[in-house]
Amino acid sequence: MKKQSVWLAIFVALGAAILMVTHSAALTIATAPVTFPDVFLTGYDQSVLGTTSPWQVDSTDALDGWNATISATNFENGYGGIIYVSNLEFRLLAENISLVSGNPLLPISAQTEFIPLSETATKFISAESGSGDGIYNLLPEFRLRVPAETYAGSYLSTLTITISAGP
Amino acid sequence: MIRRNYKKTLIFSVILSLLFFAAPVMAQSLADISFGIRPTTAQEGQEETFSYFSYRVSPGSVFDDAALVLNDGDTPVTLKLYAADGITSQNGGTDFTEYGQPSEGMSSGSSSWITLSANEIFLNPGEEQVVPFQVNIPAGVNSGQYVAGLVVEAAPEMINIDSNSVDDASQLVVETIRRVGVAIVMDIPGEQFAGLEIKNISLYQQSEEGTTFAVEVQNTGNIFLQAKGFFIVTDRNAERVITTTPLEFDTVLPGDTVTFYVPRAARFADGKYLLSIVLEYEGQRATLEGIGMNIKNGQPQLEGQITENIFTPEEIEVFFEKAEKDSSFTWLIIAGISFFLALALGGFVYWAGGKKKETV
Repeated sequence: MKKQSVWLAIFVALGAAILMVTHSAALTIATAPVTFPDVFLTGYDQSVLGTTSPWQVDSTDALDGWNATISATNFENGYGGIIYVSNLEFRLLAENISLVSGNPLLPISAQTEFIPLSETATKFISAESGSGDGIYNLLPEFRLRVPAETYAGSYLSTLTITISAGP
Repeated sequence: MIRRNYKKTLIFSVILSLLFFAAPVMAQSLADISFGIRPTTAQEGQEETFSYFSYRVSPGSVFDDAALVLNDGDTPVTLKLYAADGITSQNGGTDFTEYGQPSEGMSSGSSSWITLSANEIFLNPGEEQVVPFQVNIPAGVNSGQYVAGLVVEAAPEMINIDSNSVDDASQLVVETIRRVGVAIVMDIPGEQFAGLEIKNISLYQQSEEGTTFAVEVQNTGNIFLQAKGFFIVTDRNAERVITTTPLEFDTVLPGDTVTFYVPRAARFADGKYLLSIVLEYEGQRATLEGIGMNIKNGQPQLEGQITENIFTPEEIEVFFEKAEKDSSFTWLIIAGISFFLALALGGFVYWAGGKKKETV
C-alpha cells in the first residue's frame, strides 16, 4: 500500500509540474472572427446582428488584476462610402462569461448593455486582484445599424482588442 | 476493500489529470496565435510588480529593465513591440494608446521616456524572448504618477472579402487587431494630491431593455485613483429618493477625462426627476447634484443643473454607511451558510465513518 501511495504521489506531482510548465502563460486574449450577414439595401435603416464564436482569456498568472478593451473604426468601402462606427454596438452579458479552468471567481463584464463603439477604447471586462485568474470563455454581441443612405459595396472596419495588466 | 479504494483513487486522479491537460489544449484550439508580455522579475514588497512594472524614481534617473515576450500558441508569430502612453479607457481602467498616438492626460509623452532594444520580434511556438529596455526620466518632470506601457501587437486577422457579392447588397467585413499591454508606472516623489471632478451626467439611452446614463469624470490630481459612490434619482422637489445605484469606478489616470456608463434595468415613467452623483475617493468626496431630467411620452431630456446642495454631508454619509452595513450583512449570511455546510459535511463524514466500521 505504501509503495502504491508513493507512486500515486509521484504521478500527481508530475501532472502538476507539467501543468505549471504548460501554464507559464502570459496574459492573453484569443478572439474569433466577427461576421455580419450581407445586407440587401432597401432604402430604409436596417439593423443586423454580428456573429462570433467564444473568445478566450487566459489570465492564469495575472494575480493582480487585468482588463480588456475594445475600439473600432468606421466601416469604409474605399470609395468614400462610410458607415460610422457609432452605428456599431457592443455588449457582453454577465451570463456570457464562463469558467474553463482556474479561479471560479469570474471576471466581471463592464458593459452589459449595448453601447456604440468608437475609436476610443471601452473597457468591457476586468478582474480585480484575487479574482479572474484562470481561463475564461466570453461571448460578446455585436449589433450594426446600416443607415438607409448606405451604398452597395464591401465595407471594412477594424476592431482593436487589448488586454492589459496595470493599475 | 483497500485495494478497491486505491483503484478508485487512481481512476479519479487520472480523470482529473486528463482534465488539467485538456484545458490548455482547449484554450488554444480557439485561435492559433497566443502571445503575451510580462515583467521578468518582481520587486520585494511590491506585489503588483508580478503583473506590471512599477518604479519610484527621481527626475533625471536612467535605469534598465527587461520584459519577457512569449508565444504560447501553436504557430510562429511576428509581433510589433512598442512603448505607448497610458490612457484611461471608457468605464475606467488602464489602457494604452495605439502605435505612435499620444495621450491627452498627464502621461502624455511618457512613452518617449522608454527605449526598447527591439521593435519587432519573431517567435516560434513555445518560444520566449527577453527584451531589454531603458527608462530615461526627464530632469524637469513634476511629481506624480505617470503611466506608460509596453505593447505587443499581432498583424490584423483578415477576413476574406467575397468578390461575388450581390450588386444591391452591402458586405460588412471586420478585421481584428489583438494587443497585449503591460503598464510601466513611474512614481515621481514630491507633492502628490488626489482630485476628482464629476463633469457631467447625461442620459445615453432609454429603451425597452432599460436606461443607461453616461457619467463623465476627470482626475484633476497627479495620482491615479478609483472611486465608489452612488447614482441617486429623486423626484423634482428632492423630497423622495426614487432609486439609488451603487457605483464602482475603476482606475482613472491623472489628467484623464473618462465616461462611465451606468445601466439601470428599468425604464423611467414620464415625469420630472433630479439626478445626483456622490463619489468617494482617497478619503475625499466629489458630488454633482440636481441635474434635471424630464421624460415626456417616453422621451427623456436632460435640463442641466437645476438645484445644488440637495444632500447635506450627513445625508451623504448615511448612503455610505448603509452600503457598508448591507455589505457586512451579505458577508454574515455567506459566513452562516458556509458554517452550516461545513457542519453538514462533518456530520456526513462522521456518519460514513461509522457505517464503514460496521461493515468491517
